[in-house]
Amino acid sequence: MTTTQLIAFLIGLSAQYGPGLVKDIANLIHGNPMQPGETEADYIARIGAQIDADAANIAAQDKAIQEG
Amino acid sequence: MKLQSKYLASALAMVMLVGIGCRHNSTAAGQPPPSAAVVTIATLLDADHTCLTVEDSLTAADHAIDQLKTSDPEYYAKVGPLIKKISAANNLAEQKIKLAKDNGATDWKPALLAVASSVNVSDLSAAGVKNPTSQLIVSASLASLVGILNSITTNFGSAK
Repeated sequence: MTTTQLIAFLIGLSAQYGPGLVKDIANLIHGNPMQPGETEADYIARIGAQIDADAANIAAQDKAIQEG
Repeated sequence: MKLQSKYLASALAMVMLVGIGCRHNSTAAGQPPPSAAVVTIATLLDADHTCLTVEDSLTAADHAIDQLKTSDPEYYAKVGPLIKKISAANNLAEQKIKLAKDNGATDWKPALLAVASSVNVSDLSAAGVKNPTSQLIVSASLASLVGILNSITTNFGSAK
């Protein structure tokens, strides 16, 4: 089974078993599980900060590409 | 035929066991299911990582193509604008994902799908690069980009 097939299989399961598994899949794919002792609020804040950092990174890379 | 049926039965049993296991884990005693906010942020993280991978692939492709400015000007003129177009669409999608994270905006998915449709993906090929070594390098860079662009429709094309 390839990784793509595995992911497709897990996505199929998530559709069957509900949104809890969607979180598990996102964590499995990207290696960002909720840490032991981490609250949901802490987790949301941590992932939110990562999205902010990625957005800044992408904007910088895009600027470099657009400017040639 | 009998052997095949045996394998099929074993595979089916394995799938059922995994399914039951996952179901059990997501509703385990003492482990409340994650809130909608957690599911949303995890989904946005998934989209965010896709944008990051697209941008990294674009940066690699852009560097590779930049080397061909003088040796393959026609190729550079053809693919360079496509790279810029995808990058602009990807930056917009990322900003939408950030807005969704900040204030719950819901239009990030069409913006992400627009990244995949911003160019005709089949136009991204190394055909036209004269130097065989350059062709290999460009081909590898573009393969990564093509792969992630195609995965967007697969992963985000339907309600997930």
